[in-house]
Amino acid sequence: MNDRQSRWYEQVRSDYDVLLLLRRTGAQPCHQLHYLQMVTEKLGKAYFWRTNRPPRRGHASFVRFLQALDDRPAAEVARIAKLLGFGRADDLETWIPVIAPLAYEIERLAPNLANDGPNPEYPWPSIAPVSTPATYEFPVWATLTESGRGRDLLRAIDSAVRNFPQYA
Amino acid sequence: MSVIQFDRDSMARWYADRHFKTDPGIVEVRYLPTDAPAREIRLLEINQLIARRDENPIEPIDFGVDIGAADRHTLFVVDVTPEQWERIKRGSLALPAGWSLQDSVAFARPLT
Repeated sequence: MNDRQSRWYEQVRSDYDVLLLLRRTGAQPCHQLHYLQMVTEKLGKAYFWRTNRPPRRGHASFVRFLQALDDRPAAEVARIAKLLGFGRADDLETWIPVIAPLAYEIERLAPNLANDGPNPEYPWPSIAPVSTPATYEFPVWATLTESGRGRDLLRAIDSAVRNFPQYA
Repeated sequence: MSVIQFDRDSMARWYADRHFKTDPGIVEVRYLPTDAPAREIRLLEINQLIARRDENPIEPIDFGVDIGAADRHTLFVVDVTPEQWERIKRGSLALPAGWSLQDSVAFARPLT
């Protein structure tokens, strides 16, 4: 992990600690989703700093981050798969397309990608709000918390954050 | 001692196949070798699952791949929506500086 990655990783850890705090206190889904979206976005940014060149300014999806891990040399992918909680590299590779649609949904929660629709921060639509994050029932939240696929993704994000220094 | 030869075209195809395999949103991958440095692979991936962005210019991601010395190379990927791809083809949305569609190679999703 280079110095620039360290700076980003410090922020990822801090955001993730807040997410865990929100989860423990049963905070509204909008707040937990807000932090989840930030954690996945910043984790990707932290990773893509491994070249020591600034990653693109826009959102780098969590799927892209997982693909970049999967594009590493085979021996490294096997090691990374274990760090993320998978037995074999093949298991990681099989899992990525399964969770990709859900990961893209999380990415689209960012207000600037939400197309003036459901997002965890601001009431929408912006010019005449009819919905607010605090009371909105986010479909992605139900998927994350009530499906095995969703919980699997949350577990992998947890491992990805905690073990980041070992594969960055 | 064996020497691994870097074959950019084959590596580009290999990455495209992997990305097709792991991302159900990718509908087409374009390999853009024209004007790229010898050890740089440039892929443009048209993805129907990514959020619509108003990025102009659009920016590539450096995947930071670091395959052993003889095979060392960089992989840059640009993600675009199908709508952005249409704009690129019409010339109303610019590719990253130095990128070109000239002699680009289209990779289709492998049959499963």
